[in-house]
Amino acid sequence: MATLQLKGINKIYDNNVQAVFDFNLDIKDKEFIVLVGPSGCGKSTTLRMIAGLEEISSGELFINDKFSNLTAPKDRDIAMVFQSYALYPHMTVYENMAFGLRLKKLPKHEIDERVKEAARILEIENFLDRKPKALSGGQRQRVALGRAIVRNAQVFLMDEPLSNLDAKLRVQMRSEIIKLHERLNATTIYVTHDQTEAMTMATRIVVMKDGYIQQIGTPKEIYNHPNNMFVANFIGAPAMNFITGKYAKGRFEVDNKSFMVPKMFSEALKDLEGKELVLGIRPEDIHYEGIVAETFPDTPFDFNIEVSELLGHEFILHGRFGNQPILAKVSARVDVHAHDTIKLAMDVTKLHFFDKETTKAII
Amino acid sequence: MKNMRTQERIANGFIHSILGILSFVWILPIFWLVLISFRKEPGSYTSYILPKSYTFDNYIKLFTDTSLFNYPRWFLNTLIVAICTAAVSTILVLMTSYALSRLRFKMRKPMMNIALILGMFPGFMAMIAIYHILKSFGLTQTLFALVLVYSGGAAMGYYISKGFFDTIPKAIDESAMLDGANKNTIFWKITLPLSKPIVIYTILMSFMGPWMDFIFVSVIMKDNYQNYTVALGLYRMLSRENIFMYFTRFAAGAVLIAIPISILFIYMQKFYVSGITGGSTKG
Repeated sequence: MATLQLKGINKIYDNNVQAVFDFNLDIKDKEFIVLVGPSGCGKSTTLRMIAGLEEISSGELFINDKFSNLTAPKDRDIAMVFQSYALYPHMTVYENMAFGLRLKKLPKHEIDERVKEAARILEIENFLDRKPKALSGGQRQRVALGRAIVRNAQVFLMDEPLSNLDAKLRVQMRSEIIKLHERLNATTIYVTHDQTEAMTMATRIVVMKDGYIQQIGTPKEIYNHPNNMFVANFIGAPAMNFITGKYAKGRFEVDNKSFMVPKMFSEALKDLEGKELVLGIRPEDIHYEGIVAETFPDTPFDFNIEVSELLGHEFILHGRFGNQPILAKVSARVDVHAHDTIKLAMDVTKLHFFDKETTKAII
Repeated sequence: MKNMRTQERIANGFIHSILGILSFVWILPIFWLVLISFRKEPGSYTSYILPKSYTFDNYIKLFTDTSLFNYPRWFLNTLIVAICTAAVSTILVLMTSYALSRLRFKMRKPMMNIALILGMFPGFMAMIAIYHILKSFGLTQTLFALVLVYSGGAAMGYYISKGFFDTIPKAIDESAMLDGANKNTIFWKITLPLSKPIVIYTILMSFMGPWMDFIFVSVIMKDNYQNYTVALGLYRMLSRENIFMYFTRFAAGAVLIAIPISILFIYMQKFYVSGITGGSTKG
């Protein structure tokens, strides 16, 4: 059982730079929370405040309903995995994992049991006698995870644990961390700048920017209903297209084009008649298939491919809608080349609208 | 191709001849000293370099003929003072460096600067003051006073080990902290084992200071022959009335001083393992 409450937490460094502003979050037991955002957004600082490695400037942190602002890191029952692994280089893998348990003065046989169990889960049993220097990056990361597992901690903190791994290993470790979470059921807070990790691993995502929380929600909520243009742009790859245009008489006009906005949006947009808006549409909602063009006969437009990037199973096409650059993701089954002009259609039920001034989502 | 090889050969020849000259310059005095220590004829000045006859007597008499110059006693004194100083000042230096490297407190920067500037003044500038302070505590002419004087200011030499500690990633400290270690445990169990080369360096340096020092001993010991260290004692052999008789013995004594340091160095050298922090962080 571990719940965390963060109430109005601020971090102001000694040089008067504020890294985190008014951070509020209730974390339920067994949740996998991912803090995501570009570098310098305050996500690591928040994590380090939870760990007790940074002082909380103001606000309150409750771990299991216990006020914990001033609790020493070792008394918080927290295990942390660092981006740099931070293994003890002069100790073997076994000693690395046993170090914390020895400090707790656990009996020898129990330490042995726990270390071997963790090694079995992580499949590093064969490396127990090695020093970290003799391990590959992925193995080191496993040891770092093992060191956290043996502690039986209530809360797991992970600070970009996969960023130093190569792409293939990252995907593999990602699923292993998910499995590990299901197995250990420890409340986990995970920091990353990689939106894919956030989407795939989280029960809830916290998107941050410049020290402020932008949105908290399940991966689905965040993807389908981003609060503002930043979240819309940050989550999803390639990023959402933004097209500036004017809403008038139920139609959205861009440069010399226009199309009908579905009825589902008209209630929310009715006060914005004649105003400039930003329309958001994800590249995957722009289609090449004729069936979409038939369903939304208003939207097909000529798309001159400026650059085409083949990803194997799909193309990312660079081009323009009106004069504004957009990306489209189409299946690689169709045969398209750069400088071709093709007809694309939008799935208008998947549109997003944002206020041009505040960048907040209208719907 | 051929041209390049001849060029290389010329360059190598040039470099090696410089190295040869340098090593000759370095080794000659030592070689000369060793020769004299085995010389049978007494006297300090001779018109030749190679002794006419050789003997072990100079070494033997150092240890047997102790009526005037108690060399074994001095040797022991020096050893005791050097070992105690090495122990005390190594711990002081390392702890100070660790604090300056890892803790953040208000006067940290000013303190570091002051220590650095103070360290630029020669130590014996404070000699007279130190003498009077020791005297007021009744500590002059004792070995304990020597240990105090040598290790008292040791912490000011924090700079090199602090620089080394700075290279140990902070994340290791933090992860130990989460593992339940306090600063003390981190220092002894994590930082020190990772800093072997610098620990060895600090031990060597703080051992050699008292081993070689002349000025402080001569001021503090005055005429207490029993508590002399080797440096001071040997110098007494060179006084005008003794130099003719004792010059060769002086040379033997000087050769013997070099032995403990050499042993210490050879023994400790194996701990100079480079790249000990490898594998801790990143991949």
